[in-house]
Order: sequence, then C-alpha cells, then structure tokens
Amino acid sequence: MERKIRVLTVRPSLDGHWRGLAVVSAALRDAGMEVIYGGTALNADEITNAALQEDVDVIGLSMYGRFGIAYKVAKLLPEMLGNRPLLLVGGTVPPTEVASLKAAGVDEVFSAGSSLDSIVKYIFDKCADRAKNE
Amino acid sequence: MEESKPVTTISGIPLKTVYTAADVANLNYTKDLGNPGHEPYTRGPYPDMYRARLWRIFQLSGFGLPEDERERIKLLLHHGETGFIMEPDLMTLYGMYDIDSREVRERSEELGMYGAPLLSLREYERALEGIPIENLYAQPGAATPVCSPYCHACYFALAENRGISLRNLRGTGEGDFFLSYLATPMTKLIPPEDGLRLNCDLIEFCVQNAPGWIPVSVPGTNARETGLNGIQQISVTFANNIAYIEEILRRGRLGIDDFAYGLGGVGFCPHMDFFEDIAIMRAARRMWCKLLRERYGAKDPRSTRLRIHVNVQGSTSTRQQPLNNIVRGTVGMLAAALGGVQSAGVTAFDEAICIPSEQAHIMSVRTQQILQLESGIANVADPLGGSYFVEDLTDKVEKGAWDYLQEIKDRGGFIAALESGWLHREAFREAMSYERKVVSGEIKVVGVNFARMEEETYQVPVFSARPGEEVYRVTKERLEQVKRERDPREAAAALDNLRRVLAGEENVMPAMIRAVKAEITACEIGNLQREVFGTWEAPLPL
Repeated sequence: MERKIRVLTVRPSLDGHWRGLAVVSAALRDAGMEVIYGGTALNADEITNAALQEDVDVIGLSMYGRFGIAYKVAKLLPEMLGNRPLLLVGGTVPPTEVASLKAAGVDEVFSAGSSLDSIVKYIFDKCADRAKNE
Repeated sequence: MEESKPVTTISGIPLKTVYTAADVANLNYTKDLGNPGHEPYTRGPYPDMYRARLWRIFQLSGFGLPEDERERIKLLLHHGETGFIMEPDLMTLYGMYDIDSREVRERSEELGMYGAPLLSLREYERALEGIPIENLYAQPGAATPVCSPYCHACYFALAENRGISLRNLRGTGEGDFFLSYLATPMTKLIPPEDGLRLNCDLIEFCVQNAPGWIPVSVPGTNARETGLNGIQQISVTFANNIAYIEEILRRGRLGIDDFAYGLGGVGFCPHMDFFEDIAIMRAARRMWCKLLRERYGAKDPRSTRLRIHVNVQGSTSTRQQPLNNIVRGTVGMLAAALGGVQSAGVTAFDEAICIPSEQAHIMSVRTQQILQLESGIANVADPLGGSYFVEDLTDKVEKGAWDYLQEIKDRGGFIAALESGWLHREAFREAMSYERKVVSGEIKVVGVNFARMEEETYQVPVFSARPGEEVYRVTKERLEQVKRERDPREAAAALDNLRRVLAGEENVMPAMIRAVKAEITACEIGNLQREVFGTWEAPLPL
C-alpha cells in the first residue's frame, strides 16, 4: 500500500490566527494526506526536530508577522539527516517577502487567498517527482 | 424543469425575489419596532439619531514605538476621526508576555508590528503626550481581557496625574474574548474564567469611580472573522455579556441597572451582505432590550438600549486588486449607517497586504465623512423601517440569534463553550462551509474567483513600521531605565499587594493602579497573572 504523504503543520508565530491553517489542513486530509499538527510558538530547532521525529515529507508553516523563523528553518533543513522535507510557508505574506523566502530555500509560498487545490496539487506533484528520483 | 438552488443571505436565511405587505402582516409597531429611542429600540437607540449626533469615526491605529502610535493618532484626529483607539503590541501586550521571555526574544523583529508596546506608565505618557484626553473619547489599548485591567490602570493613572477626574473621562475598554481566546489564541494565556474575573472587577470599579466610562465592549467582530456567521455573531456576543451579568449579579453588590449600561456597547462586523447586515443591527437591539428587560428585570433605558460599533471589512478584504476594498468598505459602512450604529472603523484598503499606510488610513476616514455629509442618509432615522423585506429579515435574524443563544446555553454558557473548544469547532465548520462556496463559485468574490487579473493595475505601496529589532532594543532600554529609577521599596510593596489581590477576591483595579504608579511594568504584571492563574491552551481543530 502506498505510504501516505505526511505533513507537519506548525504555527511558529505568536499571533494565534488558525482559521487559514485549519482550512488548509482539512483540504490536505480530504486529499488523503496525513497531517500532524506540531504546535504553536515553536522555534526553528523545535520545528526541525519535530519534522525528523515524525518523518514527514512536508513542513507547512502558517505565519502572520515576520518570517525570521522560516528563514532559520530553511537554513537548518539541509543539515538534517535523511530526506529534506518540502518547506512551505502560508499566511499573510507580502509579495515582497515571497521571492526572498524562496531564495533562502523555502520551496513555495501560499499566501492568504491561495487556492486549496493548488496547494494539494503542488504537494502531490513534488512528492511524485521525488519518488521518481529516488 | 430543474429546481434552482434556493438563494439565501450569507448567513443562510432563504430569500424570496420580492416581499410584500403579506410578509409583515403580523408586525406590531409598538411591540416590534417602536420609534427610535423607545423600546424595543429596533429603530435606533436615540430619537433623532444622526441629526442630533453623527456616528463616531473611530479607527484602529497603532504600530512601532509609543511615539509612532501617537503621531498616527494625531494624524487621524487631524483628518477628522472623533475618537482614538490605541492598538497594543501583539507580541507583548495582547497576552501580557514578558519582553525577556524566550517566546518574544526569538521574535524580536515583530515587536511593534501591529501596535505599540506600552509596557509601563511612562510609555503611556509618551504615547499620549500632547493629546487632550479630557476632551476625547478613547480606547486605551485594552484590547484583550488579559491586558485590559493593566491598560486601564495606566490610562486612569495618567489621567489622575494630569489632574483629570476619572468621573470626567469618556471612552471604552474592549476586553475582547473572541480575539484572545477564539480568533487568535496565543500560547500561555490566563484561562478565560480568570479573564472574566478581571474584567468583572474592571466593570465594578468603573461603576463606582468612572461612571462615564464604558469598561467593556464585546466585539462579535472577531467571532465573525473566525468563521461564525452574522446571526451567530449576535448570539455569542450576548452570551459573553450574559457571562458578565451573571458573575456580577452573583457577587451580590450591584443591581442590574447599576452596571448594565457598561455592557450595552457591542461591536459587529458587516460582511458584504448589505440587507442582512442592516437587519443584524436592528434585530440585535430588539433582542438586547428583551433580554435585559425580561430575563434580568432591567428598567433603566441605559440598560435596555444597545449601542453598536462596527469594524467594516477585515476578512472580506482581498489581497488581489486592493482598491476594490474601498468599495467594500463603503458598502459595509453604508449598511452600518442604515442599521443605526454609534461608531465605526473602516478597515484600510491595504489591510490584506500591510498595516495601513497614511493614505489608506485617511481613506477610511473619508469614506465615513462622505457618507455622513454628502449622501443625505444622516437626515432620517431608520430610513428602511417599514420596508417589507427589511422587517421580515430583521424578524428572521432575531429568531436565529435566539436559537443559537440557546445552543450556547445548552453547552454550559459562554465560558464553558469557549474552554471546551465547542465554539472553535463551530467557527471552523462555518469557515469550511464558506470556503467550499468560494471554491465552488457559489459565493463570488471579485478579483479572487471572478474577474481575476494576472497583473495588478495598481501596486499598493507596502507600508512598514519601524523595524522590530529597533522597537525591541529601545523598549528594553526604556524598561531597564524605569526599573533603575523607580522606588524599589514601593515597587516591591505594590507587586506583593497585587499578587495578594489577584490570588484573592478583592477588586483588582486599585492594586493594579497602585502597581503602575509604582512603575511596575506590564511584563512583571503579566508574569504575576500567569503565576497566580496558570495558563490555558485553546483546543483548536488542527
């Protein structure tokens, strides 16, 4: 049986908005993925440790504010043993920040208003590519 | 022939294509409507409404250091707002977090993004320098139940230091449970029931010492922004008020008419369903009057008369084609005015992208001024009164709100429904339902799922406040200076006194005012609150 795609979701910001993440998580679950909620106000070390422990394919950060922790996670990921998960950022991301995040190693940014279908499709496509290349 | 799907309001009330006298055949003018300024206040809380006094232009504002917040408040006052709101820093004040805590240190770049860190009485003095608070209506940063007592203590202490009697102060607190515990619950908050205790203390204190001040204002706005629909918004707002009423009555010191005026100002959020939003205001007033009069035996008109503030726009603002949000702000504000609100803030058109630029913030003021002064709508009270459609819709909204209020009661009342996670699950269910309708196209959002444009024709200038690291560094330096310069013995005594009072049943406000005058910081008070009450994590459907 094919292994389900595992997604770790985290709210790293102190700002506690959760509606966006709840809606995205539901869409991912509906699409057959396993979504593990890692918690709130985690720092970069805690996030990468959780990703390792849970052996996830994707890390999804839901952020409202500034993105320092996303940059730190992007820096830590290549040092992880095993397969580096996809790193995705969602929330209120100004257009000016998107390019900067991607240049730093964030795989994709889905800012507020992004279509749920596009997030699901992106994850499926990328995970399929990886499976092919293994 | 295929049966077409029923058309409903955004909150689910089925709509006919046209309404006639038959739809209001049972409407009784005296019982169901009354003139404006008369029970049941359906048509408005005051007889002459806007001819006697226009609604207050009351914009949320704040970012950066206290002096930055001061400058934006002065700008908005200069351009015509008639009251000011001090938005408190999210990173520190919302949850009364210590600036030295790991959580805040790791995110120092975010200090001052959404409000200024007013972490001591001196910072309040900095923020209000040159602002004549004795002549102004203010919300002094009291956004959450967790920070409201501290923020009020600072504002009241500052007033006293300026020789202004608390009896002459005008303004309002918020103490928004929906913001703190439902919409954006942070980590390690004091439990909701302790938030309730603190704010009941504030209410009792204001009744005795600042009778012109409105200590809380329950904004259903954030309940709606989290996903609950417009009708449920009324119910949860009133459920919150009921929690206050019942606790204060339980304490046995005040009768309903002694304090209910302090609860009779609420907030709602128009969500682009024009007529439903109007019906929501009217239904809420009628419902509040019945609730206070029939369930609690209130007799004073100040108790039974509901006043409403609106936040226009928020989650209905789009990132795409941001100038469209000016139109949305206008539609919502028009509905609010036709619904008879007492004050309003229109979210700036760049809200989905950044905190407001000066231009966008001023636009929000202008939107209100144009409606007030150019459109003629302020000349007649409740101009839609008697409309077959609006009266029928008002009835249906009211019925739905009573039904949902009962559901909350069945779940143990407001605090229980909140602490158990039931309200979060309800909000989520509604949010998913809305999301599905947007995805399917059943609900059209111009620029998002209709009339999309690949390239924006107008680039919003992205406003940025002072860098967070600078706000962090300067704020820390100032707090260290306060600690160096304050009288250590009085500080220690005031802190011990506050701890004693928090742990007991005495009213917290005198001890809180003494503490801020002794220059105890918000960080120290926050730590003390957590030490005494413990912390709570919201049970989120994630």
